[in-house]
Amino acid sequence: MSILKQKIEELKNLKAEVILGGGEKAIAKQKDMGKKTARERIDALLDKDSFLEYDMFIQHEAREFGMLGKKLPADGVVIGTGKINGRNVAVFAQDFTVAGGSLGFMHAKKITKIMDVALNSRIPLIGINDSGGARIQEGVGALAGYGEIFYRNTISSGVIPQLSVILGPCAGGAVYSPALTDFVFVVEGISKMFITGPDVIKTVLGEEISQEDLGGARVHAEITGNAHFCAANEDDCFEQIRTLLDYIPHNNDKQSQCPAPVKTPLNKVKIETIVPDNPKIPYDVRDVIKAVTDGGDFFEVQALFAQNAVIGYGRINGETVGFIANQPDALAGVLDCDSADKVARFIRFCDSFNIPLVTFEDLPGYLPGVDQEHMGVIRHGAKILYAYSEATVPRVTIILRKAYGGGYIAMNSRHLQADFVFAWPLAEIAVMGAEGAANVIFRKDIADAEDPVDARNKKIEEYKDKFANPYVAAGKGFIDAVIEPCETRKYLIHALNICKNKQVERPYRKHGNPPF
Amino acid sequence: MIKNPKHIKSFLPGIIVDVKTAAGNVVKKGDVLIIFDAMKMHNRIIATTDGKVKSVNVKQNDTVPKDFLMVELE
Repeated sequence: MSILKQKIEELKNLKAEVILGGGEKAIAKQKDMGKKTARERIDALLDKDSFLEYDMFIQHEAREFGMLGKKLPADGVVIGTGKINGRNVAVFAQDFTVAGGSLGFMHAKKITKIMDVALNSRIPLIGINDSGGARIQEGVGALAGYGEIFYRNTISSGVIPQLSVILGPCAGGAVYSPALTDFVFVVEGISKMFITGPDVIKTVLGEEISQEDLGGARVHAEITGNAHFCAANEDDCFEQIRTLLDYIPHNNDKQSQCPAPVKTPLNKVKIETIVPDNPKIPYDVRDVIKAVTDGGDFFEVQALFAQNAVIGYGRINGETVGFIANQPDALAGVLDCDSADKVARFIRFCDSFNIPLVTFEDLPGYLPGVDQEHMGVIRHGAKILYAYSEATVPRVTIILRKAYGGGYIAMNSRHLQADFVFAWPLAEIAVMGAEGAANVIFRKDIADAEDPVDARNKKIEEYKDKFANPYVAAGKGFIDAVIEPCETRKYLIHALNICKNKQVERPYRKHGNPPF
Repeated sequence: MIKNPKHIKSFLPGIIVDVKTAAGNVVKKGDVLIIFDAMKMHNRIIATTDGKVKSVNVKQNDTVPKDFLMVELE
């Protein structure tokens, strides 16, 4: 055997040793939990045979607490590059079978290396998290690692999409890398995220709660809003990732978007039959979105969180559009703290990556209540105003029915420099609902009337006739056109095409100061 | 707080427009239980889990405060 052949044989053996990770016993344990190994996950997510791994032979440098001479294959994390649907991506996947996927200094060095590759190459970064947390034996070295990762998450934000996939525990400091990224994916029964776990909570507060109830997949998908996508198993989760990466541009360079072939819209449902004439009757606004998108496709983001606002992606004439809509089917479609956060962050992602925005509006206003006020609905609500006003991508609004008060201003109104605002004939654009308005304006007339109930009803009708329509706003030029529902797609295509090369000049600033 | 899916409560003060279920009924996730007028909308209050109705604590035209336990499932 030639020397080269011997050396190649040696390399193969070394690689095989690394690929075995924490060994067969640890792998069996991982499988028992319904989890794939780190390398299996990458293979399942990426295009076949497209992945190349780097830094397989990294060794940790810890000496204390019995770490000297202890071998941790690949230091518990797999990094590399490959393709998803033919487009380049960078990936890291923590290997729970090696020291519980714990993050040591060299483990973190590998992650930051692939983060640098992703940023420098302007390709998306996908981080698969499955780690017990900081490698305690490495002390401050591990903490340094987290800090280096957070810094890169922040610097890459708005340049490349960053996706975090939580496929195991992700606790303590580790949660903040996902929190800084654009999209967080969780899987039921597998994902666990919290700052302090059940044990600490029990010790400090005496409260007992399971890991699942504290920070399981459903908790983050429904209650906290930390997660954007929730799947039943790992394979479904990977499918969601591939779909998302098909919709969004892979960096913030305007040229990078690859349009999909145009599909004809689904005309199964006539758009004019979706929205009831009576403004008190709810409906599912997602049906309106699906009635205007190519193929009737709509990929919803944060579907289970703050359901009174709907956000997600669809295509119009092959190009990706970010949709934002009030959802009359949930809490009457009001804006509140959670839906404001959800909408504002979505707008900022779309604006960063040059995705045009289409807003469907039908809302009674902000949710009243002591708890909302004390939770800071002023501060949270302001985020929507800031995000829309700041966005320089094409912005088109369709007012379907109700557009009242602060909600009307917030939902991408002309006054926040929307490019186009269209209204359906059912639209009611007014400072408040007819009943409330009549009570205020005609308080004295109603009180003085012989029959106050009858007088009140008459005044409500009077107000409705005058103001509960789109023509007052159209008369002032705040609405560009009142359109028939069946013309919606036609107007959207036209408007998005008109402002395709939109140019907006802004005064110099280092950056703004949004109400975080 | 994690909401108990068996306790269906009012999200605001409002008026009961219609009651679509009764004690003893078996309901499926997604079934409409109550039509509830609040925020200028006849909100469809739906079951978020399968179950049997233990009690219905409202009737048509009732005015209810916020967080009122309208329907309880077993």
